[in-house]
Amino acid sequence: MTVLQLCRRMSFLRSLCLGAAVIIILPFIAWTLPALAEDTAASLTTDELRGKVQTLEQEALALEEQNQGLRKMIWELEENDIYLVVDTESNRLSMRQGDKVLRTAVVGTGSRHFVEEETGRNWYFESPTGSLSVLGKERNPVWIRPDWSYVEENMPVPEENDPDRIVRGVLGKYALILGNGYKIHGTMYKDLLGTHFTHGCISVGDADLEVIYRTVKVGTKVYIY
Amino acid sequence: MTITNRHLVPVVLSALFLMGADGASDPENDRAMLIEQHRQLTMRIEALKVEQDFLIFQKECYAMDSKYLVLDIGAGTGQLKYKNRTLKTFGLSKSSRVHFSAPSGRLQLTEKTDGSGNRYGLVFGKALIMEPKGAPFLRGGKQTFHVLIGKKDFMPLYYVLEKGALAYVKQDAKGREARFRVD
Repeated sequence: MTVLQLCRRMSFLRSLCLGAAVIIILPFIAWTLPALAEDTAASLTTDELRGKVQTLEQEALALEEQNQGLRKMIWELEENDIYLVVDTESNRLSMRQGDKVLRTAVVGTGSRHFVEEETGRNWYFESPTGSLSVLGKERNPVWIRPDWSYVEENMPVPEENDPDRIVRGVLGKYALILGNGYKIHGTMYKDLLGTHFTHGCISVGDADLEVIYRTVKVGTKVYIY
Repeated sequence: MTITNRHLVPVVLSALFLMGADGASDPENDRAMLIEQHRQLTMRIEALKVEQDFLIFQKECYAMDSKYLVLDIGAGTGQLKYKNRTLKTFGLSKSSRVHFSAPSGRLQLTEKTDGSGNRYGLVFGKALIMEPKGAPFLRGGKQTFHVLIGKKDFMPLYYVLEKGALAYVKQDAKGREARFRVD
């Protein structure tokens, strides 16, 4: 055996021993460390313990003060006004105040259908999503038929101010205006509530609409998702 | 009546004798009391830190313009929130295949499975997967916690939450998990 071979064998043996030591020692350390941590307080002298308790008392006090500040900050950001939430996936509207649900209603939302005119103009009927507000309230709302309504029925589109566009009694007794032509209103198609059937507006049954109309104010937040 | 030295001496002596009788000066008692104080303070600090973490999360979310979740695994409820508003409250349960405790604290939505083969899921890293009840079980890591939600509640969450959305898992007491409904 040459000197080089002997050295290599020695180096191999050393690595083997080191590996074995690591395998034996590591679980031992892992086993003893938590126990050592638990015993930290017990291993301190009484004076050290007294000092440690004092430090912990100060730490707890500081944390309590910080949390109180945060709680106050959050409380100031909380709002207790009534708001509406529309879930367009499950076609549900809820009227809420804080964490309380005041009323839930089965509604109709945008059909997610696409309509295209011969000229290339097209419309996709989807309810708007995001954070909106009630911009106005209407009693006995009137529907001004938009162009897509004629296109959908293969009818010629009349002039913009054509009186034929004015249709009464199809939006129920009340409507809440959300802007960009979208409203929360009543419907003649009550059997379809709970489905996606509208052109983007939120259709609500009569009884629910009455309560919602009477409860919400102009400025009430409406969250649609 | 006048108090003389003759009256005062027995009173002082008996007071000195009784002072030792309450055991307060016993070093063993002192030490035991300090150890107990230490234990209670450590627990209190831990609870305050957990509370602070959630308060900071809330404060941050109130200023953000994206929807987020707050899950209370112990109570079996969740909330979809936007700023300071609750948009939806839903029930949840842990999968019976999971036999370890839920992660706690803030998580981030890292993946939305595409729904092919009815496999819908909201994946929060390796920590947690939310999926509809009754759907094929999504594979996660060994330590991935699975939360099941009724399909009607799950789908709106699936569509409304975007990658990167935050969730906070509240878990204020270990024992609360025992009350957790198992499907």
